[in-house]
Amino acid sequence: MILYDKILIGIVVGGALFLYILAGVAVRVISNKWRAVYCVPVLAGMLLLAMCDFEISMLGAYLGAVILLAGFIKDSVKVRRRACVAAAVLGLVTIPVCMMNKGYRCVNYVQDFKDGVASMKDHYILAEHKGVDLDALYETYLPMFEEANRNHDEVQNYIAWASFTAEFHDGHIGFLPNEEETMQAAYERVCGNDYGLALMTLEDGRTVAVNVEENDFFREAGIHNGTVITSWDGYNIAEVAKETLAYHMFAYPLADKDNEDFCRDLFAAGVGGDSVKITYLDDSNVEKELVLPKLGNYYERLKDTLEIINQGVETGHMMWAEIDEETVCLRIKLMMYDSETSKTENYGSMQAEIRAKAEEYKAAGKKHLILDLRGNGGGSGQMVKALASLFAPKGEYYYCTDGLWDDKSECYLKDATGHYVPGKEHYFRGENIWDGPVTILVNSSSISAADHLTKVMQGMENVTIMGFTEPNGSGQGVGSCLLESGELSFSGSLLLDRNGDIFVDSGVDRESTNDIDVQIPFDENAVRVLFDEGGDYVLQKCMEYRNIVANSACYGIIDSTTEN
Amino acid sequence: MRNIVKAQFFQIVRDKVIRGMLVVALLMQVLVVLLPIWLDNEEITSAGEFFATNEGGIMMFPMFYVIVVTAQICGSDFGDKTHNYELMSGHRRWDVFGGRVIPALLFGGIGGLFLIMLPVGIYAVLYGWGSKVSFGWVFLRLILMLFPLLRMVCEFAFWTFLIKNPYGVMGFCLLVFELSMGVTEVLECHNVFLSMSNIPLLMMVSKWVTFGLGNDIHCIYDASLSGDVVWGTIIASVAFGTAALYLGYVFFKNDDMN
Repeated sequence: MILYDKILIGIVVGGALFLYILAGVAVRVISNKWRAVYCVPVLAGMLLLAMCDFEISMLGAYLGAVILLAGFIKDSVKVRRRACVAAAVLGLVTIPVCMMNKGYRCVNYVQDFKDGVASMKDHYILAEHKGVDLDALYETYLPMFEEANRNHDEVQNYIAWASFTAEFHDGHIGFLPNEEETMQAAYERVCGNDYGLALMTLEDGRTVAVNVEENDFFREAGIHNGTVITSWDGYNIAEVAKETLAYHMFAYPLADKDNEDFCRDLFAAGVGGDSVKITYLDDSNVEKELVLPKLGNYYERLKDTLEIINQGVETGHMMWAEIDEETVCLRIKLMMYDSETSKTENYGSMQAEIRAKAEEYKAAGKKHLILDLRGNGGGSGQMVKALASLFAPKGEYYYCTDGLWDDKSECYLKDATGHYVPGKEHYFRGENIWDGPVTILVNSSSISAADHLTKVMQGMENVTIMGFTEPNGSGQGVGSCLLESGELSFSGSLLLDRNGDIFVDSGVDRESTNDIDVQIPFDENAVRVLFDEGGDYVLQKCMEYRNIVANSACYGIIDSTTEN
Repeated sequence: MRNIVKAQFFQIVRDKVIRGMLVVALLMQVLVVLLPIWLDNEEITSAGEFFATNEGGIMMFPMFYVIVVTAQICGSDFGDKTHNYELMSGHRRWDVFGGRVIPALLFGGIGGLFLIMLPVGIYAVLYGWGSKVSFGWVFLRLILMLFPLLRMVCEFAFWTFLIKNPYGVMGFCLLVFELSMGVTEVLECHNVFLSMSNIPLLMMVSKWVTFGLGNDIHCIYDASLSGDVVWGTIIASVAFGTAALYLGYVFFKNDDMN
């Protein structure tokens, strides 16, 4: 039971007892004003009800508070005492009623879904670009919300939202439930069982075990990080992964298809009952079978695996880390600085600090700069501008174009062909504060403003963008609508390319316009460094690449990397 | 009852407290419009946008006015026992009660509504209505505000007949009003129909903000009201107002008999 309801029941029951005693005492008091105390429970009830909404299970307590008003209206000890007894009984009965009612204080999830979709229909700007039919999606997902409503299950409601929002392949669409624990519970529900290992696809298409539990069972079977797994419970791994709800919830929000494919097999490793039969190739390349017993819930292992793959340089936001004698890294976890700087100075003091630090490191002999944007959750476009202008070679650079807003129709203007009309163009001037090469590290969790920084610095002569995968591929402005069960956010502010195409975001083809220069292959070496040695493979490859480039002064000669 | 109402009107138009409050409220409502213009704090656009973005400023002083007027009309005669003389001269208790509540409803409800409309009207004269916010919906919202205003008059009248001291009622009701507004804001009040009044709900226009990379911010306002809100406002106002009046009358009747 929520606190407000407990307080109300306390007021009704406690008040009834107090007023029962008062009814006998008060007849001897001449003043009539004391009768007002019989109004206190109903007034308190109104106030509490205003704060926490009406709840049918609490009807007894509400009636109890109203019944006590009889003491105010009727000047009779008998009536007052009877009213007090009735109110106390009603208040007490309310407690088991609330505790037994599964629907107690449950939000109407179907209404929430309707409201959310209505808001998206009004304000979501990428529906056509993504080829999304909101009405059809509404019909498809309505049964999931109806079921959540019937079961009064907020976890199921979150799963329904996550599945619905994943259909857009837009990293900016998301549903944040009121309680953080709901998300955790939902992921645990959909991730399946843990069998002691996760799965990843290597660049050559083979599926291997990663993040393998260290125990005698796996050691004796010869299964370790990098062991090739050929089937899972008799199924094709790629096919079984695609059918899981977890795959839809985790991987579908990745706007770019390549990002989704990269982590696909990870979701197959939770599929199965109390045990699963797998086939694998042992170290002598002989195919074997093994039955894996269930160890627990797969969510923790899946989360841990993603964290290992998506790790960044371990230091604080906007902190510098010396990688070696010649290399320094600026870790940017978000596109946000302190609020004062962003409001009053347009990131001037942030730029001054970075300039000073850069000078310091250059004086100390550092030549190579890494901007680590891995896992960067986005933020301000102004900060992107400020950062890009610091590191871009001298000259003027195009950033993006606002969509043209039409005040009359209160929406972004489209031309006769249905394309958005470009509005104001944005540029920035390069300062080139760093003379040497700059490498930007990204992954699929580098989203929004991190997507912007990657996009605007693409192709600059001093810049190389590297990662296992491209950034997320979601670059529009975000708006949100507040619902009863949480907050729904989605792309609501339009940003375009110079030619009027959507800035960054992928369309129906699920290919974002945000490419990287060097794609680091996820191979056996990556598995070994990440899961056996606990190293940062992307950073290691970045350093290797820089050393080779510095020595050969020639791009594109590394064996293990594929240039785009 | 008609004579008592007439006598109350005679008294109201000469009452210094009510006159003073009316002047102060009018001045403050004009200031609500002029202050942002003088201080150049906000971008002046249209009356529609002014209504959609100034909910707190527009409603504060009309609420004070309603409290003071109701307390003064219903409570000022408690000090000199006018009620007793009226009863002794043959008026029914209901007439004595109603003779005060009806003028309070008229002056409080209509005066309060006028004060709420005043800044919007001044803005419309100065800058026009504009195209961003639907005039029809805002007009409906303003008309609907009469119901919660009347409900508030009834609630304040109840407290006045209970406390019997107009200044005590003013202090008490201002405190309760401020508290309820504070609680509503801090605790994100859900069931606004059940709080003291649902005027804040009628003042709140839903907004959607889009932005460009620079400082180009566009706000879309939706002033429309659902049937639930319209009927909820009317039903809750009538139900709670009637209940407050009934309780006030019961107390007044019994209290007098004692």
